[in-house]
Amino acid sequence: MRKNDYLLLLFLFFMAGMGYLFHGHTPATDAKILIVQRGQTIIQKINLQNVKTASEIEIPTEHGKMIVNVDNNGAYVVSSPCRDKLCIHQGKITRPGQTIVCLPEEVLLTLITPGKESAIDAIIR
Amino acid sequence: MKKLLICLLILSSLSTTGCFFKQQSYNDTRFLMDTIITISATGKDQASIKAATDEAFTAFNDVADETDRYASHKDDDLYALNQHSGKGAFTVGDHLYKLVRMGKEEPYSAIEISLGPIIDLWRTHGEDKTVPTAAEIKTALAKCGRDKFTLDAANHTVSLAAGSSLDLGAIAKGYAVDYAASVITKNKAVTSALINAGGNIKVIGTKEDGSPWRIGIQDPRDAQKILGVLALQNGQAIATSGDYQRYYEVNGVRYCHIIDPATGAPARNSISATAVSTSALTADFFSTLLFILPHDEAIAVVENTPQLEAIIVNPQGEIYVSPGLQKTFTKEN
Repeated sequence: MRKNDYLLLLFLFFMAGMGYLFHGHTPATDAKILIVQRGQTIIQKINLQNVKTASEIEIPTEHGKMIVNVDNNGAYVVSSPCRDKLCIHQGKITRPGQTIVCLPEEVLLTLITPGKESAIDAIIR
Repeated sequence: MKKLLICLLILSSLSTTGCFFKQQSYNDTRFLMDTIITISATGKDQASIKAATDEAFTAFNDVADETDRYASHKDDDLYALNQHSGKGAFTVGDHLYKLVRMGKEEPYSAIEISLGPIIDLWRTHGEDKTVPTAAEIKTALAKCGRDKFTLDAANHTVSLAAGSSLDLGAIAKGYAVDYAASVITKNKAVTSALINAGGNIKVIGTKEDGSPWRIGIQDPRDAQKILGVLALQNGQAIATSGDYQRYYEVNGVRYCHIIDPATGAPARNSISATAVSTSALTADFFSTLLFILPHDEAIAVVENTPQLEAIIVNPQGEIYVSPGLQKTFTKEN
């Protein structure tokens, strides 16, 4: 091998290492994503950094519609057609890993972070 | 030399796109057993992990169907058994038989799987936001107790006294988590997984970076806060029972869904009890037991039970952390 070949090899290994570091160790950010799921279907993913003013989203459910308030810090259920209203009592979620569950309407709201290195893997409730 | 360079170029491009070194991950969430079940798995390739996760959900669903007392799914399930009360021996499925046998043989009277009548009473009143009378509770409690059901191992049957019914809410989810975990670990493509069934969690393997799994425990009186974070290792399971998930209120008094068999009323000795063990079934069972027992008795059970650790919050908000969790539990400020 010539000198340039060795340089090329070195460059390729450098690139491989950079790729691993970039994809395997992306640093955690403060960004939060709200995942809205009904039954087994994810119906919406909202990056809360993009929510400039608090707004309400409607989720169609079996017995009507659920209203969820979303701002750049978290989300909470404003109204729900379910009987027990426990989803409303759960209040606002602001921490990655937190969820709001409405079992009668089969709606799940989950906050996650894109980078999970320092995040909690799950919250038991 | 050319071939070597081509190989290196491929290696380089794979690594820069993150496909060569990085583990694949897959998440699936479904509504089963009146709760949310999430399985998060990592492994070598997406298709295999998805297949393993689907198999685990199928296993979970098998247990869910067999232990559901509110709807009929098959001929040998809990719904069918309860319908057969007072009519003699009834052949039940394998999962159901194991759980009923456990309910019959376990030594703690504070856990009782024959509370169907009293649970139904509170459920009916909960829908109307009323409280049962003492006479109603007494009548319902008379239909509960371990003398109200018998098992026949040779014939795989259970016999229920007339008017009695079983409820496996204290143990079925933990059993289902263990069963799903046993299925997913059979697939060698899966290197790690977290099974989260509402208040029951089991972790399998280690995370990609080798760090322990970090499980937040919800503050029972503030849904926006956590009590702290618990570090779990491969094979550990955790379960929490509390008065804040399913309850109703009448005149400012909270009535939760966990019934104390001694009184026939919602348990009030704790507001949250978390149990940690190597089995999700064990953790599920003890989280309910520790929630029901008086605080001092609950602590004594933890101290006298091998491989059981716990975090218990009493009604005054005082938190007990068992000695074995002192180093792995980080309190939230």
